[in-house]
Amino acid sequence: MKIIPKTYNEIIRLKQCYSLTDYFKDITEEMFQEIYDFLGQNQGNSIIATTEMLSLIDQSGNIVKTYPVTKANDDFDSLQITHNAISILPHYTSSYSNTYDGTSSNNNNNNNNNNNNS
Amino acid sequence: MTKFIHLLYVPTMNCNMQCKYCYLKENTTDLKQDDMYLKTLKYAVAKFKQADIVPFNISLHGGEVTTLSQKDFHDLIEYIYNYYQTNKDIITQNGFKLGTPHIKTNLLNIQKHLDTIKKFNVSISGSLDLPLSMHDKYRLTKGGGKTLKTILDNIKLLETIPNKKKVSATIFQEHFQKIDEIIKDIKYLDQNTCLDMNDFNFMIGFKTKDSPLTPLTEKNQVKFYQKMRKAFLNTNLDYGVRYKWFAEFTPAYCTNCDNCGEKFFLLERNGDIYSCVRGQKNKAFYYGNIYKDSVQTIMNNAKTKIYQIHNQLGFNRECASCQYLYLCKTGCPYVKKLYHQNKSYTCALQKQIYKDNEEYPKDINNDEDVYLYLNKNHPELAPTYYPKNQSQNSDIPSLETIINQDKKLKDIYSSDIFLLQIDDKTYKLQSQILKKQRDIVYITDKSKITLYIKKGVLENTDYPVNNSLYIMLLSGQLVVYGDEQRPKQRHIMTHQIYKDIVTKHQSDKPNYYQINITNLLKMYQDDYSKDKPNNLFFTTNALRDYHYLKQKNNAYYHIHAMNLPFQNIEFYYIKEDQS
Repeated sequence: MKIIPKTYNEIIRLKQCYSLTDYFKDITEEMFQEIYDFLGQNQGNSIIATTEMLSLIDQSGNIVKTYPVTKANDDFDSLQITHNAISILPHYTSSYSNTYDGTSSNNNNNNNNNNNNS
Repeated sequence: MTKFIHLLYVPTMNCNMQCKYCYLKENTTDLKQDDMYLKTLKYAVAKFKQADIVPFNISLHGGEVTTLSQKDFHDLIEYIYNYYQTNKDIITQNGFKLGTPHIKTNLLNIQKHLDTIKKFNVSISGSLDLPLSMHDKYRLTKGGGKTLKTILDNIKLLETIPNKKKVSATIFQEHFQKIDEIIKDIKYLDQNTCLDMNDFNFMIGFKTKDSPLTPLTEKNQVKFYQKMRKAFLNTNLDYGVRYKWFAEFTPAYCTNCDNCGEKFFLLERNGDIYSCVRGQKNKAFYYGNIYKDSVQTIMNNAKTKIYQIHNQLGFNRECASCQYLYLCKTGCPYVKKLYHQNKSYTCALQKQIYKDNEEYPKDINNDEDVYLYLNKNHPELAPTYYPKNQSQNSDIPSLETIINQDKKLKDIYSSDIFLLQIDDKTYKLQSQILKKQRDIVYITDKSKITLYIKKGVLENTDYPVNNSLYIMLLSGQLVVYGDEQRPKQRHIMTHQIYKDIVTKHQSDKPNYYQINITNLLKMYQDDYSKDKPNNLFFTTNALRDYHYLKQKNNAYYHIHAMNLPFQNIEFYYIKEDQS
């Protein structure tokens, strides 16, 4: 990594970006740099990540970019990086097995044109 | 791990009709003939297979597939038939039903392909307008000619083959106004054609650009559904009206996915991949091109695009309490985006269907399911919905129950007695073991750190003058401690500030005492862990004593509060020389 932090804020941002590598297997150098730069552009910018998606969120709450990611451990459900802080939501273990989690196998009838399958 | 997808294949955009409300508009002309009809499907299936992705269903859609030449149609159907035979084991062993080749068709030109349809047991799904009197108004040929008679004649031709054949109809306000005619025509089709009207489908139309038709209001959607039930329950079409006609809103369909971009795809002959028929030719639902992009890129685009759409439309708080979120998952992302709305456009109808169907009871695990859904699509909201109690079936009372029964414990766990201000940001400190979320802050050797303690907390004891603010500082490094040989965070220091010292300082918050702890934390700057978050706890001497007394007296409490229960914040400490 070619980033040499010069200010406290830069050190904090760099540490925040490194901490992402504790949670995700596939943070590339390119992603790392982009996240580092993005957080530095505005103090209101943030990162929100689930165990599958990592999004760059601007100060207005809009998603600027989303990366699919792969979790590196099972300890968390999501995390958020904001100016000077990281919040981590610990993994919640469901008390039952949800049988309706995307079990669908039919494409919807669509549009005002139909597509009902057998 | 093998991933399974549902693949709609559009071999041609060409259509021999020009229905007035067709979503594809001018895109249904495809005069260019080439040899890609089969090649693209074969290429895509092979490329998916290389990436360990298996279509469990391949259905043909249009344009209009019956406009293909007899040879092209035959070769495509034969390929799909053989695909199912070759992949029978992997599809069925993974819980999917093995299909037969399936086509979606307007039925206008189907007679041309009857031999192929018979030979490969092709299942047919046709489209009609109901009432039939409206069919000739909206479903016309490109030259404006009527189509109903030909289509009914073609349905007659299907009588001779045993294949599965069904139709569906889309309902707008204009159709709804003729509901009695619709009922009559359903009975007519049931009695006079080979169509299995118990396997019929209604779709609820939604507004599209330039459509001449008006979508049903939510109220009329429910009225329509109820009138259908009234007309057909306890008839020979009881099964249909109960389970099939409105099946689009049940978990068997794509809208039950948390993220349909993980499972449903539409492939065009030129290699373009979209979400589905609704998203076809729409940039927001374009996932890539099978010839130009890697499968990984297409899959990533699919799930991130659908995630972003759901996320950016927000979450309707009503969905958290309706107890059917586990079934509806807030509806189709395409229509939600079209309507700029954060819940299903058929919400009221769906609720009514679920209510009428014992297969779909209200969710007894609603809290968990809401959280799981939000965690996947709205992680920014998930902490608010983090389920309260994981051990509902346990005989041991929850910590919350124990706290609620003991006034003194309430202070130990209160979330408003300690505030920590780091430079210009104030954190409301919560009990380490009650909080849902870990907050880790970055403190620098230039930070100003102020603790606020609520007035009355230090005084709430028999001898307040002996009471003190009790601060514990722990390193992120672990050490093995004590008789139980348990790894715990290494203690750095414990610091007590007696009540009369705390209360003498001027405070800028009226209900709180204030104390500057900047130098206290700086004193131990060389002892903090650089790699793991350090931990700072606050309580009072009296509350700490009570916590240990309670542990001694109540085993259930001890089980829950093995770790320090006090209000805390985790932190990294940044020194100037780290730059």
